[in-house]
Amino acid sequence: MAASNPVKGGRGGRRDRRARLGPAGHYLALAPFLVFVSVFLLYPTVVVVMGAFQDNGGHPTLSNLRAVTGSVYADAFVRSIELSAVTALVGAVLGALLSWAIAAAKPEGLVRRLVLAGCGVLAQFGGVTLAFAFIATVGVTGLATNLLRELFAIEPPRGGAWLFDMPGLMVVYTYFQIPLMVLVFLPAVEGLRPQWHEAVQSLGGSTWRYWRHVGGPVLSPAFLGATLLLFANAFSAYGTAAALVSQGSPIVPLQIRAFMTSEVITGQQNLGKALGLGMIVVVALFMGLYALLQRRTARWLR
Amino acid sequence: MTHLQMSGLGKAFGGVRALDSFDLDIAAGEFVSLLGPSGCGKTTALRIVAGFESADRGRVVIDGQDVTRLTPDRRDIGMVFQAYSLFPNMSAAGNVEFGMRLRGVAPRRRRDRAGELLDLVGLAAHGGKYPHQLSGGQQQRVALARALAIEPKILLLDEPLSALDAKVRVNLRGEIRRIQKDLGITTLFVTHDQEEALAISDRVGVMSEGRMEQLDVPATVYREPATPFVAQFVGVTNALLGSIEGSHVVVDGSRVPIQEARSYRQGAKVRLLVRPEEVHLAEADGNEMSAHSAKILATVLTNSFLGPVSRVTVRLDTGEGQLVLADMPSPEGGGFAPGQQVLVELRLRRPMLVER
Ligand SMILES: Nc1ncnc2c1ncn2[C@@H]1O[C@H](COP(=O)(O)OP(=O)(O)O)[C@@H](O)[C@H]1O
Ligand SMILES: [Mg+2]
Repeated sequence: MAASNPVKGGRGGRRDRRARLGPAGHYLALAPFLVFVSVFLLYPTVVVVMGAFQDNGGHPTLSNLRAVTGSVYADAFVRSIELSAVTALVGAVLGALLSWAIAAAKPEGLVRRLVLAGCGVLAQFGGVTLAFAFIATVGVTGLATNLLRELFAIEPPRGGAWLFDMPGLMVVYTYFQIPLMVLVFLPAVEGLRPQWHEAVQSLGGSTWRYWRHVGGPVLSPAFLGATLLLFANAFSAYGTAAALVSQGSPIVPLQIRAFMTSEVITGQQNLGKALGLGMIVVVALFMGLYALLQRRTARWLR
Repeated sequence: MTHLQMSGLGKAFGGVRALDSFDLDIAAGEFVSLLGPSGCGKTTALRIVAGFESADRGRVVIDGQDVTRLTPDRRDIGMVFQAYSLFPNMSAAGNVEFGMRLRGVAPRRRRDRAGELLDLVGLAAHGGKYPHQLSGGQQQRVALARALAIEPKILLLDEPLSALDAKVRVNLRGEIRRIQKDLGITTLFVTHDQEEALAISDRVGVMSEGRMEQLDVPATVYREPATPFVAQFVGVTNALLGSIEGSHVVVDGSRVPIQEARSYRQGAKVRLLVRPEEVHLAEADGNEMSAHSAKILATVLTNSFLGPVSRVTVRLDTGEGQLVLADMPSPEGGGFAPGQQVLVELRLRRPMLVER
């Protein structure tokens, strides 16, 4: 790369040094990132995909895949997708409404700053801490549960055990989906220009017409993208579910845990890898679907 | 053809008086500009007419109908904003068609009409493009076509050219005026650019702090400013420091006779407002000095050729060394060279004084 730049005496300024890097230099600058991606993304993916097609002896086989498409595992996939889709949709809708309220608030106001800071924290609030917060509040002997029992003699469903199954997972997941939605969607809402609404009005249209023909269509690509992110976020979440659910493995990440840690089922780690492959396929399918929708909703972006 | 009346409009934001007993009457088919510094209330006046802002006091009347309480969507007003107002999710044609779509015009008829309007603003070939594929000037043309598409009674434009390059700006303002005349649409145009206002308007309203300072045809606003504010805001003006002495203003030792000086207190400190074209320069030969006390000795600093005139900057030799701009007709004006000593003579048409 240095060869492409003949030495110019006395002009070795900053410009020259950058020019000397050349195109190869730009790739060199990317090297740390590429190494990172290779070690923590590509390599594990290859291991998972290869493992899914091998038996314990390392011989090629389809039996792992056949096994995980069986009923128990298929159910886990259905529940995982259900959980992710429901919490992504509920989180997206509520988060979008919250974003809209924040965007309408005074730009430098206290409310707005507090809500934004809160979202930043809560979107990352997961795993054992979040599970504990819910158990301590609405669990079997949680604070709110006890108050309801003693003050109003109301008994929560299944004595509060609902929290440790699918309904509980949905509520707890939604709790971190909403603030995540605000973080990724707010910039799009703030990108709506007030003069678009005013232009619609002066042309004789109502506020409803504005949302129907301008605001909605302009936001929809960002909304779709954010909803997909929420889906992936829930689909791949493990810590919160692991801390909350100790009996059974209703969703795929917990099934994989069972294969990796169980003392009962030994020598079947490759089944876990087959489940991992299944997750990769599901996410890829959703990405494909997203790309198609994006094409249709955002023709004007290209 | 529509007649627009604003009378006694008042509007305050918190403690800020944006508009204060504001009156403006625009005849059918007339093009009036509101001119004034940033924050003087131009946009507020426009937005009250459009209905986006409600007046605290006063009335807006369109063709005899009081619309003060009407919502914007029921006023039939075309609005062109400063920038980025096109709907990004619709093509240029889609933007122009939008108002007609809201009014239930049939698709075929809508498309034809949008085509005509795009042609009118010189963008016939660009109907299929999305806003982000258009230049700033083209976007504003589309915005104008979109506003005109609903055949509004009144056209409002809020600094529609201020985000554009100088050259595009001059072109487009000419076209706005041409189209406005063709259609005979009553138009209120807001700008802080005096040249723009003077160039394209039937009448110019100069505003300051929420009030109308002067409303008149461009030539009168320029030549006969009604107030010191207008004199200083419109055109280039020298504000010479001086003090009152009887019926004279003394500028750096030279006595300039001015009738109005009598109405000031003896010794009062004032600024004498003088247009560059009222300043006459003559070569100094060292003799005539004492005899002509109204002339002031000065030294040329720069001389720039502006076409019909040369603008000469001189520094007065006495007193605080004030700078004075003089516009001298071209062949003669070109002769003044930096460093040369000259005699400054004030040939005042409309002397104007401001107390300081
Ligand atoms: N929505 C608003 N809230 C508070 N103050 C405003 C608002 N709109 C305008 N103002 C104030 O009113 C005054 C006039 O504003 P504006 O009409 O926008 O002036 P211009 O268009 O001449 O620059 C300014 O002092 C401005 O700060
Ligand atoms: Mg303004």
